[in-house]
Amino acid sequence: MNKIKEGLSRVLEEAPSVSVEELKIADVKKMEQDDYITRQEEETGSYRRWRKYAAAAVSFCLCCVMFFSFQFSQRVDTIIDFDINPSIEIELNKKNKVIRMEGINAEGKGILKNIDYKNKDVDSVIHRMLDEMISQGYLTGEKLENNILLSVEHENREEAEELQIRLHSAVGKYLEERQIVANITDQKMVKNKKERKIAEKYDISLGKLTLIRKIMKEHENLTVHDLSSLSLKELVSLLNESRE
Amino acid sequence: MYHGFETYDKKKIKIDEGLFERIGCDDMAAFEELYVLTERTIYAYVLSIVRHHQDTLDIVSETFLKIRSAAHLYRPMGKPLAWMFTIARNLAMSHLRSQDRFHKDEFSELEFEDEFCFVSRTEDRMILKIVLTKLTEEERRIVMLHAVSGMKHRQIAKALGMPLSTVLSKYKRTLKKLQGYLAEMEVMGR
Repeated sequence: MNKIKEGLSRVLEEAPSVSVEELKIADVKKMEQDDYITRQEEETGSYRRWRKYAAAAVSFCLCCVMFFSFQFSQRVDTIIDFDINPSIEIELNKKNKVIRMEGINAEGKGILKNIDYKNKDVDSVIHRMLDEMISQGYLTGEKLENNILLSVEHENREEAEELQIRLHSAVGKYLEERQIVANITDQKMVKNKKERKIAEKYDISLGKLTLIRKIMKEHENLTVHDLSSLSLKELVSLLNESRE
Repeated sequence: MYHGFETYDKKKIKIDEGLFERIGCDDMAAFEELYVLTERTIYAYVLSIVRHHQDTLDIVSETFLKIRSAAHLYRPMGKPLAWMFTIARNLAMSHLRSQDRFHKDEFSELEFEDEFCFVSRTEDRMILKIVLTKLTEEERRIVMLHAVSGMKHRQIAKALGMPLSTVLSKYKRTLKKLQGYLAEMEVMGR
């Protein structure tokens, strides 16, 4: 087989060719429109149909991929409750991008008015949120002690802890740079529908309720009703007292 | 118009369709690039239709001049070689009509020797003669295009507008046919 192919190949190589230089200098008149010799063949009907189906199939697959990747990007992976007095809940996807924020109380809602958070990195959103809290006077350098409660809910205990530490350090550093002293408490909170309903009833965050539950373990006579009206500073002092 | 043997680069043909736009603006470097890339392939294609070397050279020459005059009208459709083949084929058919060679299958020994005197090896001349006299036009096109410039079956199928499976099966069948003729001629030669 190769003998035939090689033989033919040699013949075609040996054949004299047309001089390109002569073709280049030849006088050529530009055509105004195609004639029967240069007319480009249109695609046949079946080929065109096949391409239409292929394009439709590709578009459908792309839509599916986009739909599922959008769904995936909007899936809540982590919840952070940020309490000062304004209480704010932040929902993150797997890539730690903010997909939703909610003011738990009126002060929290007031902070969120000026924040654009959609699909932004959690660190930058928290910085923006701290700026807003500083400008609205919830965090000041004049107070001897600003209290912040950071509560993280994540299925994976290690990842929750990692995020707690990272955010704790990031918030502390950001405020320190602005000469603001803050007492930051971080904790892990657990997903619990019943507890969430109780928090909603008292207009507090699940993070704050988690802290209240810790105090109640130490002070059996106290109730959620008693503690929910206390400030964060008072709650942290109560907890510290009971542990001393 | 013609000059002698040139070494031919056996790389896979990849034509940038932007070359036609440049040729349309009289860019001679682009024209030369297209020529270097495709001249042997066009030669093989035209030879498979007209079967005569001198006629083939004339048509190849006309094909490239036609490309120069119509390159600005080219619409990119992903098949530049197919367009070049269309031009070459239309010119070849027009030539055959004018020469009244459409149905003339005969190829005299003298005519063949005269036309293909540049083929140095006897064995190669024998193969060429079988290809030009015993195969159908479609069979000639497929084996010659495959032999020249490393054109792959897939590329041939695309350029000729044929299904790949057809090109593959025809190529296999044609090679078997050629082998049969070659064996026959070798026996007769002894």
